[in-house]
Amino acid sequence: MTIWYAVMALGGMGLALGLLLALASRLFAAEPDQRLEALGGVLPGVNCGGCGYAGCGMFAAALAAGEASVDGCPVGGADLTEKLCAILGVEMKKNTRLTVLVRCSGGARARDKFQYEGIGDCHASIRIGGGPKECPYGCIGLGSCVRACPFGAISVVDGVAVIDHERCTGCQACVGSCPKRIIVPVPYYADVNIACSSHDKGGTLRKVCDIGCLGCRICEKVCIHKAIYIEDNLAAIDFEKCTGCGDCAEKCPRKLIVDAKLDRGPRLMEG
Amino acid sequence: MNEDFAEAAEPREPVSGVTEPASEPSGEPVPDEPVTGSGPDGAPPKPPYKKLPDLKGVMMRTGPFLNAAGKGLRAAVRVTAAVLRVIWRILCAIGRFLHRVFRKDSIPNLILVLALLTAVTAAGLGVIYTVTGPQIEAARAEAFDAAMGEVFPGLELAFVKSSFGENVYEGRDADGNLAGFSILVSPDGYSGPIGMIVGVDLRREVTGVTVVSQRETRGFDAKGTMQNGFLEQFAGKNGPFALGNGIDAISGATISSEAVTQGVNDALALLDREIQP
Amino acid sequence: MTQTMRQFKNGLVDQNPTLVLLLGMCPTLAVSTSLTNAVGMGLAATAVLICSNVVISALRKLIPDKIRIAAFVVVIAGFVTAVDYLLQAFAPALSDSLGMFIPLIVVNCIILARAEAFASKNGVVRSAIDGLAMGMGFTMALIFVAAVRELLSAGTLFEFTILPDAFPKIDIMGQPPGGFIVLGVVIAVMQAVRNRSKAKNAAGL
Repeated sequence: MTIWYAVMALGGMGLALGLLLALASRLFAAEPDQRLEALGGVLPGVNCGGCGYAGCGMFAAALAAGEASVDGCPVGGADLTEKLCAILGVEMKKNTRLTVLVRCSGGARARDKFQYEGIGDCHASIRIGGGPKECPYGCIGLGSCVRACPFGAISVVDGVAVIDHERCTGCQACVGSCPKRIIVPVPYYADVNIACSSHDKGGTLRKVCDIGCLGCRICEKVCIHKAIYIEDNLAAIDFEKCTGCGDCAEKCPRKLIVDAKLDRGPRLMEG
Repeated sequence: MNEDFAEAAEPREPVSGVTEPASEPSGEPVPDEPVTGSGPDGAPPKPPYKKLPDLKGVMMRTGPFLNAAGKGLRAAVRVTAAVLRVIWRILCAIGRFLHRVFRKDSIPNLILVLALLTAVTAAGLGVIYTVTGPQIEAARAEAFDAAMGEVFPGLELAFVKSSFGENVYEGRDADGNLAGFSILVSPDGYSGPIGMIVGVDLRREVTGVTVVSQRETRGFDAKGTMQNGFLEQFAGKNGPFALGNGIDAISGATISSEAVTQGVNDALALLDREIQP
Repeated sequence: MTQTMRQFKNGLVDQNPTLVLLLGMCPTLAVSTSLTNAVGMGLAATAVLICSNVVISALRKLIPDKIRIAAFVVVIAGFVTAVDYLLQAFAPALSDSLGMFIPLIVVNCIILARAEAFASKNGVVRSAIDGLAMGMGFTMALIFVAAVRELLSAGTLFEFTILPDAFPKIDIMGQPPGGFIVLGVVIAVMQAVRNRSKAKNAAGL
């Protein structure tokens, strides 16, 4: 008998409260943006703040309001960007996903000014006469960026830092960690890239590095889309115009230009 | 040779007994169409021959009846099927209606789900309580008896509220005999009431005193002087008790000691009042 | 690493409810004065967590969104009450010493948070495993804090005297300020462990 009392008492309360909630949901009904739920569903929900908003809910609201960019979530990656584009009805642009590139191919191919033996950190080494490399623009290769990457996407190969573009989420934590500021964000889908930051004239550069950009303008002349140009002795690419045809990469005398998708990295010297 | 041949070629008499029945050895010819005219004078065969059931007659007689029955059965089946179909349609309609009313976010569904959830939870808890309830009661009673019985060291008593007032509990042993009383008192101590239990046996002697709660000062009785010294002094004595008169106070805690002594006296007075009105 | 192993690593380290997500602080501080209490509370909460995760996961398609929270609380309260009855019946000493913190398991953030974030979106088996993993993480955190607090404030572990009498008993460890301090230190240690493993992963490439 006590069970019946319990059932009726609690069941009655449930009934009453259900009614209350139902009425409240009608009275205080707000028309939420239908997309918010869908957006919330695909966002990772960890509220890490990497997008710059206070949580995934806020990011979704900003997306729906058109204030945030679809590639703002560093955790989700390209897959997430695709889903967000689908929900928002936005076309996914080719340069939407970002990754980073170390603008240097030197490393073992760049001359050393002196032999450095000290704290194994790029910031520490540049205190001593600007660092052990002759080229003032180049990668020192002691790995400050390696340690800054929370996803383990950077490693030092042959004295120069190299990005694993599959692990890279575009969070750009490494960008600030490089004392030479040669890690830059680039579109993930870019087919061509210049992996050099040196503004030295050709003659000087030949003395300090075997692979750096001389500013010889051959690529500029070869490109039919006018997508590559020399600025201050250094080649640069306009990604809006670049079609990835690879002509510049073929004609570059230094074999510097990365002529394939980023993840193949700069070409290693043969022999 | 020719004669032999002609003789041999002459048709012989047909071998009779083509219809010779197998039962010949028993001596009783089977009453088939007697080809051999086994009857003594051509009349139909007479018994005793085994009379088979008249299947044909049975079938002739029961045939129409079975027909009718069969038709009736089929009709019955058809009717039942039709009725069942109607019932099924009604159920489906009800189901569709319910499905429409109790959609995922509709008001009736909200109420139903919550009410159902709470009712089921209540039922479940009710069941669990019927199972654990007795055990909980038993555990509580045991704990209670142990607490009350602290003042009767060495005895195992069960305590019930006595008729002598709220704070007096009767302690009975395993045979149900009254062994003594546990009395709850709360005299005012130095900084608040001191909760105590005083045990009194049937000879009106104190069997033990224990302090259940006190707020005297921080760390008061950290050394347990009360339990191992002060309170023991009351055991085995009749009272009334007074400090300095057989009871030594705890050094540095005169007021608390006074309060406890007063508590024991109060307990005995309470008992006196109730038992001998 | 199988998904199950990942879930356990999640519950114990990566997203330890007490030390990383900082949920369920109130009962943690309150019951970690004694190791027996800590283990008792941890196990009770784990039992409730697993059961409520399973039920909520099983009913996730039937519970309308608008009464989600009320429904979760009803389920959780049901299981907490059941656990309360069982403790009162079969472990009355523990029930007394945990006191009102057993009913407070209903509003323990860990249980409601996992119900909302995991059980209402995943299958029954996965939810059960998540409940177990999170519960173990909670219990582990409680044990760490309680071990330190009981040892320093009373010199005992599980009420067995461990430290010699000469060792001073740091009273404050048994009180709220000490609780906060010890909890803070344990959280810091956990953070260091997680950072080291992250760095090891990165450097290992």
